[in-house]
Amino acid sequence: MNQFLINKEIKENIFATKGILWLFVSSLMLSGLSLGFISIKELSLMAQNEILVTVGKVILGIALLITIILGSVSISNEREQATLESLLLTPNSASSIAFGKLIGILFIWLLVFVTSIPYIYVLSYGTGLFLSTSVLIGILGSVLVIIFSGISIAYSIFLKSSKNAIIVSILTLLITSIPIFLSTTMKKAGFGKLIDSVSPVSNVMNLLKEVIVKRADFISLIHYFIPLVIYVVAAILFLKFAVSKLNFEGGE
Amino acid sequence: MIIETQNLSKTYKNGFKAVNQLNLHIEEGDIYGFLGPNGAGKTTTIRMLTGLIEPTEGVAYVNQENVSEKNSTIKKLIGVLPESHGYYSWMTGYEYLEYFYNLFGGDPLKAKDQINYLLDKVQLLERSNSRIGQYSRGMKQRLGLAKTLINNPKIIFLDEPTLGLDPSGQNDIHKLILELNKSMNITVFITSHLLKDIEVLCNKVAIIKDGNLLVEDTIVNLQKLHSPQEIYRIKTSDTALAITFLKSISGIAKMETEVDYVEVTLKNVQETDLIKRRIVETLFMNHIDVFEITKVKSSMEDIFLNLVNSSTTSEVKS
Amino acid sequence: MKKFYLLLILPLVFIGLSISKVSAQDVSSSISVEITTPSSVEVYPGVEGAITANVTNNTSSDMTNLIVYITMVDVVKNMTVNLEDYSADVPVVIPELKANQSETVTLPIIYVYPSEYHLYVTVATKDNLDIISSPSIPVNIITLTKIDYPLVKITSIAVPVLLLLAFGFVSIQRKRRNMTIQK
Repeated sequence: MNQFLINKEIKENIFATKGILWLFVSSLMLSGLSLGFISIKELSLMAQNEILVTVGKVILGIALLITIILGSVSISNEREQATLESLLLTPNSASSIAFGKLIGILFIWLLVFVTSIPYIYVLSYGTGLFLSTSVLIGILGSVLVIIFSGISIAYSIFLKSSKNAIIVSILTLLITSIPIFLSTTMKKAGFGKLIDSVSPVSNVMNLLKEVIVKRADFISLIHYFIPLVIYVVAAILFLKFAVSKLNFEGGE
Repeated sequence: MIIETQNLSKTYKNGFKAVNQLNLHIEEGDIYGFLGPNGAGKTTTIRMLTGLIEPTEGVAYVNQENVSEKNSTIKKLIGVLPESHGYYSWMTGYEYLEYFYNLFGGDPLKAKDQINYLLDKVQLLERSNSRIGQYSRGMKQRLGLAKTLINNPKIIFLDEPTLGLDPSGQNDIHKLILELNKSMNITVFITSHLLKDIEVLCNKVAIIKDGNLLVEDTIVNLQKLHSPQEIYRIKTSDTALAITFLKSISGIAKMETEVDYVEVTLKNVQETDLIKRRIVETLFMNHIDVFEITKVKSSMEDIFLNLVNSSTTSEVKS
Repeated sequence: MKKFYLLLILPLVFIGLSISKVSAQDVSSSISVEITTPSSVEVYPGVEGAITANVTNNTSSDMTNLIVYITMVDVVKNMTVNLEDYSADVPVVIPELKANQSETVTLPIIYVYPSEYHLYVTVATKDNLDIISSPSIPVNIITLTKIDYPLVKITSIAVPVLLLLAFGFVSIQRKRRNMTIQK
């Protein structure tokens, strides 16, 4: 993989797409939430471990939204601004171009995560949960970002339109997040239980709760990690398949 | 041959045959013009020669290497300026060239010198730290040309390099291409709608229509063999009087007069010598001295239109 | 005549009331449940525990399918509790309880969110509509610590300000670089 491709993607995500401004807006959201936990009556009654789970979900939600948008426009934008042809005419493979974009997006997630660490620290103050919460959010966020940005980049290749790729990527995120909207009873049995167990978003949310709230040990959580690993592999394979279709064979 | 194609064809998935049995021959050091009307298959041909798309039939060789087999090797030897060429508007000109320099695996120690040299060559050195978004169209085109040369290529492919430029901009590009060809012996494969570009730059030309090669030859031969008509400039001792007598000669289709000469267009190319003799004899008999009869070359436009509009299409070997 | 009807109706009313009272007394005493251990709970969050309850069939006939489950109420926030969060939402079913027999059941629980609760065990059966609950035990899940409010306020203001400054700094640096002439 070409480091210069990755450097360019990082710079573009920060400068061209106003990445720092996005970080500022997401920090505003986390600030608002944190101030809410100490000032709004209903929120202030929440236990600290519950607060950490809520903040964890918000951080992951922000990261997912930013990264699927960046992924959706990655290749289609190059096509729309007529820079793709020049890129493909360099000795770098289409694969290194696509995966360079994935790593560029992972870097943005890293910035979001680093920005959120002060909030995790102050909200976990005194619980001894700062390290485990941070590590957990870092790992789970990385996994989700790889899955959804990989899928979004693939959509960007197939659909050749930024607008369409964004819409389909958001729909994919919503579909995989369906279990979040189901009631507890619905998730106990039948179809609800099935989709709750296979949804990557659902597995991540459940993991947050198990570790932060119930302080479960790692061995008992293996069944949550297995679907996530499968999704990561599937997303990467899907992206590789999309890369094989990255060409000008349509006569554009 | 530095570029050679053998029965190169491309049929897209929707069944459209863009290029059919193309046989091109380009020598090292040529400035090779590739002409054709819109949709003739020029861009498709360039994309096959540069390895961007696979031919359906036939084979293309660049620097004696099969393009399909040695794709990444060939990409290091060529520079391409596509017709629709975009830029990263947030980058500066310098950053843009630096990016592509690194993508081609250039030596980091020589990067600054190479980039500044090229920026100077295309007259963008003073604006190298401005964002590309602030560049004019001409500046962007010159930057594109600099990018095409960033990897010191042996061959450059220029697809409509002067498109959208004013005459001054076009002139700058012409000078640059000629200089590159002369000083660095770079082979240039150029497509253009501006036939004057081709006339000024190229030593060899191919004309393509509906994916088929109509002709491939040097410009001199094209003018000899495919001129639609013959035009002669005649200088005499009395232009006005000469015109009255020339009107009576049957082989002359058209006359255009200037102050000190008259240009006659002959009807029948096959009877050129006969008509010329008639002209000289008529003027002599009427005591008008003929100082000069010189042939005026057909423009590329004339040759192009003649070939493209004719009903038969046959390949002519160079 | 009116007096006669009143004398006729009133005894019937009293008889009816005493029948229903007898019935209520009969149902509520047919099953009894009490928490045997623990008598109270005071723990930190995350601790696993178990509630042991004794269910007795006080009747002379056998009972089937008695559902025994935990109920909790938060007496500080004045609300009921989602027992799934406490892993205490799975009831124990006693398939058969013979006449005048007792059975001890164990109900697992994880003490999760800090607060004060009353916990009790309830028995329900398909055969009658009344719900029988044990007396409750106090449960106190001790909060580890409180959030440092000033620290939260400082962080909530400082982080966005720093990011804004970073954005401004980077923009100015790029503009300055663009204005210098490359030599």
